[in-house]
Amino acid sequence: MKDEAEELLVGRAREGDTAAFSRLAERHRDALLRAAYAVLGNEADALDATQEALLRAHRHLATYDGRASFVTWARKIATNCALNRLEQRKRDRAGELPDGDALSDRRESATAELERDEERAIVRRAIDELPPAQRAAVLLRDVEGLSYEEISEALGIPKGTVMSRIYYGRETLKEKLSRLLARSQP
Amino acid sequence: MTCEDMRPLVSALADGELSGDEEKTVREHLASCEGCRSLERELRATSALVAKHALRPEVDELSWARFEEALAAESSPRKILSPWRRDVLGLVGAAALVAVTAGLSLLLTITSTDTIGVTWTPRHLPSLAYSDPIVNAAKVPTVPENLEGVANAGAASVLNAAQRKALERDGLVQLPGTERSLAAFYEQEHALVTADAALLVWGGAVSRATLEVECENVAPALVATLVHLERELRRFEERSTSESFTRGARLARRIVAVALGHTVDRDPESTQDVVKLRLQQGRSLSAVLGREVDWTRFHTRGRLSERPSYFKSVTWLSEAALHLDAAHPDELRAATLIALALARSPEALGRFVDLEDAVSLIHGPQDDLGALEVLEILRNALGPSVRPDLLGNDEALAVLEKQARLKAAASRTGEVATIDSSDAPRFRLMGAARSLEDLVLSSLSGERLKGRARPTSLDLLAAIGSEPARAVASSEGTPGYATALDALSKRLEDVTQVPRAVARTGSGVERSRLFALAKLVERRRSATGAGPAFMETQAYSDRALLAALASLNTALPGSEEGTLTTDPSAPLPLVEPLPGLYARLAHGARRLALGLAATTPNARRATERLHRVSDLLSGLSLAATETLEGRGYTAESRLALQSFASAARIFAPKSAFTAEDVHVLVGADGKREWLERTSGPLDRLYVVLADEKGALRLVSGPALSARELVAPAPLTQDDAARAARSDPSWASHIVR
Repeated sequence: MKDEAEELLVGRAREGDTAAFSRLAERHRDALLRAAYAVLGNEADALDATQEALLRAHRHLATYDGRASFVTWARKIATNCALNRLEQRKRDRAGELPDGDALSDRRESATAELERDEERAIVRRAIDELPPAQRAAVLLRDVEGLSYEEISEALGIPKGTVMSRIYYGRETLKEKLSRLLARSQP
Repeated sequence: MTCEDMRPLVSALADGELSGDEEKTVREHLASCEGCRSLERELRATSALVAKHALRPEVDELSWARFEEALAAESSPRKILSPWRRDVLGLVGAAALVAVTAGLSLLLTITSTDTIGVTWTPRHLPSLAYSDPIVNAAKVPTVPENLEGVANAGAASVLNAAQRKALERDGLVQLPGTERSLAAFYEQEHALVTADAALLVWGGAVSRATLEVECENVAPALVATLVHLERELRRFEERSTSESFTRGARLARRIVAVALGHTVDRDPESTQDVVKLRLQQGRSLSAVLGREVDWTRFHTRGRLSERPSYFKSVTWLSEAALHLDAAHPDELRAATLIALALARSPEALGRFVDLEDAVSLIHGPQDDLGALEVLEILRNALGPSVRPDLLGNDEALAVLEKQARLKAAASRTGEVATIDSSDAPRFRLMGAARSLEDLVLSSLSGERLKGRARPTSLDLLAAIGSEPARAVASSEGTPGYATALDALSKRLEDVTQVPRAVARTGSGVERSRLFALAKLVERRRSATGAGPAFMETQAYSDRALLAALASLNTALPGSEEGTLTTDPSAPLPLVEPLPGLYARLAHGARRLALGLAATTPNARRATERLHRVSDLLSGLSLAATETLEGRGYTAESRLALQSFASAARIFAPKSAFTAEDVHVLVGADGKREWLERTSGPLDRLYVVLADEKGALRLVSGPALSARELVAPAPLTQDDAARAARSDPSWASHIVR
């Protein structure tokens, strides 16, 4: 179903109406942030990637052909920006001591500091510890509810790879969450 | 197909992603295989756990404001705000901006001190707007003459005639505050914990941390530099034949002396009161309000009244800065900028907001007070050819610069250029950022390039993309310079693109430096054809600024530490419900703590302190969330709220200031004028408000800013009596 308000905003943004673009961006900012977060697993970096993606989307709005929804198009840009950052991060960390890294990741997010719910904390930690490629696929599926096709598009990987990454990610999570799973199952 | 092959398909089945045939095959297998059935159940349960608990980050308003700022900068050829801000310090700026612009209207309905029923009107956070007390005053009802019919009008008896007149006319009067610390405010009053207050605590902690670490690295060298500058200024003062410049130099020297901890007398001659001059203009159009405003209503508050005594020295130093060019030694240029920074706020030590202002004095965008002052200074120096619309224009700048040089030669300020500082201490890239310096050094020094003994900051600027710097640096005609520069730029880009990760291997200092450089590189990349901003020496001033911070640290009280204490008997404060902002600040503090390699005693102390502040801010974030959700406070948020006064005592500046802004006036002829920043010490506000029944009441109390006074709750019966005999606390206005 077409969202007329959105189409209107896209149209105006294309004509150079920055305020319209800003509203468009505001509509989808959290979805883009979640997608970037799925890839990066770090809120602050994801925020940076989201901002970069939105600015990029703004610059390249002319290339948006309207076939997919705006959010799908923008999400693709956001995951791209995030993947670039991830790549960069990997290269930069090559020579780094592993324990310092792990420590900083665990203490990275102020929001995580606020977690008091044990179950939630365990699940989040398990998600954090997934390899980025698996984490991205799992989160885009289970949190964003994207289809394999859409995930394949967003991450630029074949559909079959999406399936296996989701599966391996879930397998890893399943092991780490076995205690919780045992509790939740009858 | 084996079970092993089947497993990914079972996962896909749970997602409904199999084709008809595949699904049939998998289902048939499941019917006969208990292991795979169990797998399917577990995978589904795992998915459900992920869906239920995965972090769903949301873009907070602060980040959003920054995005909109960036978008605006990108869309408009004319910059609205300086697009470049330091990672950590910049957050303060942006957050302060949010804090300043945020408080348009909030409606408090408090039923009891412990049950929090708060209705918050949604707060739009524009990326750039100036807050103005008068905006809030729009809510102020018409006030009858002589305050007739206003309940507890007797409370206005403490006002002087002019203040009372203002109250009667506008229903609102802001009195100059007293020099109080934020801690005193929260210890003595039942006050609302506002974003402003949280920022002051956070900013205090962050600046202390930055200062201490920078201090360890830089302060000794910087103090030597300042001593040198003082000596040079003295010589200049003695030799100069221009009276005004002599005076300026004397003042400048005193400022430096203050920075060095010497005591100096006040200069009785330089009391030219620019503020008064402006106030004499009376009514004129406010660009902020879009209507005519009587500026005499605004009181010059706090230390601003003392500022004119520094005006001349600022002018002089600015001129000196203008005249200094690449031909001058680094350290002299740096010291001049530092002195300039100090001149802007010689007493508010450690408050980098002021120092940031000092930087914007030189580089400020047109909407800033700084730029306007620069204009004024330039006009004074160079005459009416200085036009604001040309400040971003390179050609115009070149012309200005030429004029400035001619003028300098004519007025003998050219002498500054001949100072021999060969024996002066070298001002180097600070702290652990040496590796960057080394990079520049090895690429652009005499070993590689003939005729270039050592690289200057100009080279660094050129390397990170400043075209004017490149032009100036290249003009020396050193063979191979351009090629070396290109190679260096590439390498620097590699380094600066990934500041955080790189910095993890270095110290916090390196981290902040790299980040600043990265920002510059990014800024250049995203530049939309517009030339570099006015006097493109951002990196330079960054160094100067941090150096100034470091030097100020020597003036900070030794190792004053405090323990965060909680007073359970104190009334529980309320919190301005901006959970995202507090969480962001908590996050920022923690990140800075992580960035500081805890290798030295100073850094260890700073790190610990930052963690404490981060915990406190997380608690505030929680309290704010609970407020928004209408829940009572949990033990943790109580703890944070009850520790806030103590945190303010440890971390907030010794004297707290309101964070308001600049009022720009646009005259009928299009000329811009400005009213001083209205920031000052904690204010006392008197406002006439109407209750639901329309009865008018006078409300008064100390406040961090006028925007806090927007609670249209009726006062209690004995407010009048209390107002007359003592200071009613905020609680008395917002608690029924």
